Amino acid sequence: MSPAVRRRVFLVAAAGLGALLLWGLSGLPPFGVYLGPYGDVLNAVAVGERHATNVVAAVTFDYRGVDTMGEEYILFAAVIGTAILLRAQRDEEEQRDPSEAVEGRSAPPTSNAVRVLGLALLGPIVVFGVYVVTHGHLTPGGGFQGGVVLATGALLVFLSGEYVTLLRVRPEVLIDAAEAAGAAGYVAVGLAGMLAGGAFLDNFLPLGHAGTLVSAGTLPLINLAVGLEVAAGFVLLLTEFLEQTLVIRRREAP
Amino acid sequence: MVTCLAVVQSSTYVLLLSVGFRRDATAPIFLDVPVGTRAVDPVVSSLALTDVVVGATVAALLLALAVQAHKRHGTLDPEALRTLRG
Repeated sequence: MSPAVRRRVFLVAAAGLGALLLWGLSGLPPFGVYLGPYGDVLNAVAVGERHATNVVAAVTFDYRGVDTMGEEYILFAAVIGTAILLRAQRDEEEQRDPSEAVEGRSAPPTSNAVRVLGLALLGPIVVFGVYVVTHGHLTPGGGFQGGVVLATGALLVFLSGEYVTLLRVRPEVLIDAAEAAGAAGYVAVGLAGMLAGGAFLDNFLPLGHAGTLVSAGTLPLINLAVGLEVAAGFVLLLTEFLEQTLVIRRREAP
Repeated sequence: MVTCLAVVQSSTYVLLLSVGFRRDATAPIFLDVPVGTRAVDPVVSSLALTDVVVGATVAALLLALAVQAHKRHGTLDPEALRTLRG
């Protein structure tokens, strides 16, 4: 099929899709008017049933916990796919000695201002990330958002130091283990619910008082598992991309 | 192409959140407001929340694909990359 024919077929299909979308959009209620029953029902009963003041977190990890498990595994699979795609291929090798770095391919030396600011911000960012993860069932936040904040802390460490020297520490095993533990932790909590006599992902732990840190049963546990998995996944993504640019070289012909 | 996907995904989040919006209503967090105050829909908020993070990872996967395609063929033009080579 030549490009011109393809373009014409695309324009016809796009016109059809656009018409369908406009028809659907015009059938929605006006902006600001919310008619659906589920939101009102959940807002009314969630705090009483689950003792969690963040209804969004209660929906994400409790009422629709199986959906979130699927989304977490999409994230896991995407991280694994990226790690597989960016590993050293047959005609490449990893090069970890910074003295042999090719001209123009090494990372630019970091200025002292970046180094100081990065390391000064690292502490507050880690504390803030842990706060967002652990308070997910009380205030806006949760595992997903807090995990990304924690991964930003790791990015600051990469930015404010020489990456190749940091590789000598070799934290990859720890990151892989943390990510697997987070992904497995979710299923473990679900299976524990089954062992306690309920359904999969049943909220079987004591619910506590709404508004305190230890409340809402299994919600904080699932939050921690998801936070661990998201943080480790993003740190793994960062290390893969940095290795691809800085460390992996085409193998020199002997 | 990755940018197009990111734009379309972001527009779906905006659509979802605007479907669940209610005028003069607060967030569905009842830590400091009593239960029963007008709040927006929590279900679409939770859908958008997980989708944003997952969308970022899928974009990373696509960029990794782009990096390897560029290394193999030297170009990122979809017209030039049409035939699959072993």
